[in-house]
Amino acid sequence: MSVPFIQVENLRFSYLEDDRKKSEESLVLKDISVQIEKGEYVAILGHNGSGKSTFARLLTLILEPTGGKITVDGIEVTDPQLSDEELQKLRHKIGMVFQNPDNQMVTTIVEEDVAFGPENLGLDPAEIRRRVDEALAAVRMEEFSRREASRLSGGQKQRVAIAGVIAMMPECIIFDESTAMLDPQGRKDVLRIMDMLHRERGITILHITHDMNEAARADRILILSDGRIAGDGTPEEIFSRREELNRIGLDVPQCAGLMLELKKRGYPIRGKITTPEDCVDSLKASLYLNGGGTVHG
Amino acid sequence: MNSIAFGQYYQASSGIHRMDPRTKIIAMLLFIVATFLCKNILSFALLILFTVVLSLLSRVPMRLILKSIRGVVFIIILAALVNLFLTSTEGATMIWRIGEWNGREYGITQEGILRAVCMVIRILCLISGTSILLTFTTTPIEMTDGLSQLLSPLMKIKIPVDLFAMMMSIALRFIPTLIEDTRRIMNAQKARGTDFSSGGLIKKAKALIPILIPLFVSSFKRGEELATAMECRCYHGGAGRTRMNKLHWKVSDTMGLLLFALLIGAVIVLNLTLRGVTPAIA
Repeated sequence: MSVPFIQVENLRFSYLEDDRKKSEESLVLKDISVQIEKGEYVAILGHNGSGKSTFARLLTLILEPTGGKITVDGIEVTDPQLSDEELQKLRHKIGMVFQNPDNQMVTTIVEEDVAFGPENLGLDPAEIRRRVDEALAAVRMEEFSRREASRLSGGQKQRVAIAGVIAMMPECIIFDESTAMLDPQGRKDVLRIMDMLHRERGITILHITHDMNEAARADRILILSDGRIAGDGTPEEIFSRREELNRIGLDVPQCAGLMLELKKRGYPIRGKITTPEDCVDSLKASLYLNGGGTVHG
Repeated sequence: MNSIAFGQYYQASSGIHRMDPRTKIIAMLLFIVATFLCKNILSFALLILFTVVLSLLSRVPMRLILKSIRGVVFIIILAALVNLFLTSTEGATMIWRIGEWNGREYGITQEGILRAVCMVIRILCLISGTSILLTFTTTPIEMTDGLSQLLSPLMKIKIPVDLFAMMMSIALRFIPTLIEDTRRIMNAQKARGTDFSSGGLIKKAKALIPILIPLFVSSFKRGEELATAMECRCYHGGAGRTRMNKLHWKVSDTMGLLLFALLIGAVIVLNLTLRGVTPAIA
């Protein structure tokens, strides 16, 4: 059996420094075990305070776990003897895009900010230039390369921040609520880039969000609630457990909710119900099935 | 709003804009030395000519250069008055005698007038020359890059020039963000009834406290998030870091520096050959 890309075993974390005070209640993460394979697109879903951002920070070792083990690509990164070099390697492998685009830009000029990561890797200037141009083209920001980052819109800034991570050529990118502060257009752009990175480059995507509609785009949804994993499965599987979701303060997307209600009342709904487009297709299919093709459009 | 971040930078395409920032920093030092070496009328004339040519080459509008001088008008007037009245009158041609005090004669002399005029020219050339060379034609980022590369030999004696350069560039990067924050906080406080405009100086200063404290808090928060983001992008200090945009020393940079060296040379030659011919000005 091959080793999964990210393997988390019995992960526990508390923000309290003092070990004695670390009671069960103070734990933000309580016993999390999960495996993530290379190339997966996973949404990590949870409401505020569920520990999802903490989880992301533990994966890149910005925070050190209180207990448990994290293995990335065969290397146990929670090993206290982990060398600096291996830590840099981990952060090279797993890139991270944060919520506030303003707080992750290091330099004034767009292309210099994108170059920041590769510069830290100590690459050759010509190689950095090639990567920066490529990364900016990937997020369609190439015409802004010499602009000042402070004059861009939120969505554009976030695209630059993503380019900064792409330029490091990571194997996995964690989006820590990266769409939360954006307007609808910026949000759409960022989500589309996430899909593209997953589909075209095979990059493992971990999307941390509290938005069900965004989570529905992933191949797999992990639900965190109160520091534990409360659900793990495909969007279809997760959405079919609506009552359970409601109990932990979450709900399925509107369209999926409609389909579930219809199903409950005995309408023959088949097929995917995760995105609005899927729902339309499933609805059409079942209407044709029932009415024999009398529906237009 | 954002323009404050870029000081007085004037966007144009000129030879001086394209010059390597290192060249401009060295040239500025040479220029300052030249202004202080000027000792007679001819060398001052050369200095004026050089400054005028420099301003024409830079394509910075005269209006802007004059504006940058406006800030130092007071100093210029003060320097002129001091030189006008306090130049030694011994053996000088008196024009208007004021009186005697402590066994010393006071008044306006020909030499005093000459000195005052030259001092004014010196300050004017100094301000306009340096602002053309740096503030108008060099972005703060270029300036940081240039300065850090010029000082990089200091790394050998363990002065962390690269870290200072990083701090500088982050500071520059956050100026527009902080201005935006300040405006937002001010609006929020205004909406809650804070009055920033009325009252005396002390009352106005006190009204700033409810702006400064939230500003500090948000800056610390931003700083922490930025540090995390930088760590996530493998930042681990200056060691082993490369740069995408290396500064390139061009032939034109060498030529430019030569011109400034020539200016100093000419000033020195004029000082030596004209000693005793034209009145010397200290």
